[in-house]
Amino acid sequence: MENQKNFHQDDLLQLAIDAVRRAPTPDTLPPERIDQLVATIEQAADQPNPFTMTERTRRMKSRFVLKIAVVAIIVVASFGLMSWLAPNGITSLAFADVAEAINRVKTATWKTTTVSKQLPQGKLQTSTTIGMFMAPAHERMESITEGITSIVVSDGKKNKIMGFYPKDKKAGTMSYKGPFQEGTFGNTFLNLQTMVTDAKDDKNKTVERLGTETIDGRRTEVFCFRKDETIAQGNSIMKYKTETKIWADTKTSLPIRVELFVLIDGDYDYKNETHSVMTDFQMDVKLDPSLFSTDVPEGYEVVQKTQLDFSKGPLPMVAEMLGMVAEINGGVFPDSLHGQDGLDDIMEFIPEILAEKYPNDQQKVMDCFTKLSVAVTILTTMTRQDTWDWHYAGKGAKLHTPNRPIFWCKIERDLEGRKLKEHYEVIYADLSVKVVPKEDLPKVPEAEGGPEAEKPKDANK
Amino acid sequence: MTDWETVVNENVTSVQQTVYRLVGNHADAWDCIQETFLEAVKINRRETVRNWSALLRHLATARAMDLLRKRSQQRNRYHDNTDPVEIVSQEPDPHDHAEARELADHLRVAISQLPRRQAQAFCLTYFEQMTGEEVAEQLGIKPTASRMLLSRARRRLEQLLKTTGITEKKDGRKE
Repeated sequence: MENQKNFHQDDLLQLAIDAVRRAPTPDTLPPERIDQLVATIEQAADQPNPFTMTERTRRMKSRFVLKIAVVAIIVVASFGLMSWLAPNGITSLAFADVAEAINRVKTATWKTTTVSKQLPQGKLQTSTTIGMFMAPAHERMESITEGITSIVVSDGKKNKIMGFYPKDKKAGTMSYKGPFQEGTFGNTFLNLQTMVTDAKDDKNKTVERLGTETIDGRRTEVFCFRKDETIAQGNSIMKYKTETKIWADTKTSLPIRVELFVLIDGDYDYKNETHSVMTDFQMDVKLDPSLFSTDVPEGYEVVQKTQLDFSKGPLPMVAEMLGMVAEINGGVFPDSLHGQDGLDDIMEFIPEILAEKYPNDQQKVMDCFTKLSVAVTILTTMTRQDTWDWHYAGKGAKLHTPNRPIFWCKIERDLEGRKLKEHYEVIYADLSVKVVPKEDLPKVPEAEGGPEAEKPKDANK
Repeated sequence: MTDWETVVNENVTSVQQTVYRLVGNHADAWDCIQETFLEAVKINRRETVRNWSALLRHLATARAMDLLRKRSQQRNRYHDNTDPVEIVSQEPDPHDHAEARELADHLRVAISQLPRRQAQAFCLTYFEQMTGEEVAEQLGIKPTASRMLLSRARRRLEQLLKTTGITEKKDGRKE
């Protein structure tokens, strides 16, 4: 007689599934219970319409363990207020005066109230932020969103950002190393100074003058400008329509009030409307430098510590990202960057998969997620550009296979910003990155991409 | 205007079976049934429901999962003997019935330890007999993502069942 054998995993799971399926269940509820249920439901249906987030919003909110939202800060800081131009006609206040006055500011505080709403019937989310700025590039933002306080401190020169939640005693940091060191983690006021300078020097942009208004006894000149923009963020395409209004004090040329209205129309029926109002500006006030320290406060649990290292260029980080994705995908690279079974599909589940892979290591989860997001943003943004020469041939490639090319592209400039001639780099399945002469590039006819290949339909315009 | 009486009458049996299969007792099943239909009321307010059966089974699965997780955290056995009437098993052999029940218990506990969407994808596929496309539609994801969730769920469940120390005899009986 054969000895008892160990179970086969598949068989046992199937046996268990069958056991649950065959488990006896009642035929139906008693009639009185059904009547009770109907009455309850009909009564609930007659109640006034409560808020409820859409499943999508719920999923999006639940993705982040710690909502430092650095990517959002980067986007808003770099995108935030639009460029301005010298005003039309003869007026009491020239826009150039406004730009000059703002750039002379060494410290500032202000208050921002933001109302955001997921369309069409989403819940309104209101946040209030106290912003502080200290030259050359220090910023502190204290926000209250749905009753929860968060504080983000950034150093735009060292490119370090630190965020923390006082209630939970949790904190995270992110730093950047690489070319174009300054300005990676831009901040609101620094960005405002940069933009008004650009606008002052750029004759092609236009600003509409809306007239004058008096606010709190102070006479202001009101400017307005609009902008439409399409941006690839991660694996989504977002269309932004913005309108900015500035009320500048005619005596000091400094802003008294700034309003920003943003309408976002994204993939997967994502639509969001945000209205921000900046008020209570105090310029050149005395501020304690310790408010701008990017060191984690004592007693806080560090749940994220990420360094983005671009000192060798972007491709090593892209390679690392592709490796992480391959590992998550069972040891093989995604079939494609875009489309079904591609990187876009897998990325949607990255937060969940990381939480499962590192159940007791929140720092690791946040670190991986941030790096993946940044690298994916780079990759998906660039591969939607019509002019970039790139190719992806990862389908079927197993992680750690030497000499198996999975991605290659033309690099236009070196780390100093100098233009390169016919410079190509290749990422291999063992995650190595090598410079390869053009004549030796992989010949993979079925590779995705290339300047002659059809780009995803919703490419950047 | 939604005819709730019709919606309830047409779907309550399948909802009951969905939740009972997972939670295993009348009291918890009744709570889940009510929560399922109340959730459906909220959803019906913001969007048109095209397939009540699929939606309600999805919601029922989710509510039952939530309960299983809560139990798992509180370390309660889910068969708490509150049922006034024992439902007769279809297993011919009492020994087989006990074994099947134990195996089903283990699987339920294991499912409660899965990430939320993996658990939903698994239950909707294997207990609600939904296709990959139907599961994807209910979860609001793409079919490939649904398959990925299912694959991960199966792998994880296989590992969890292994830790129970159950083995299987040559004739298929486990011990």
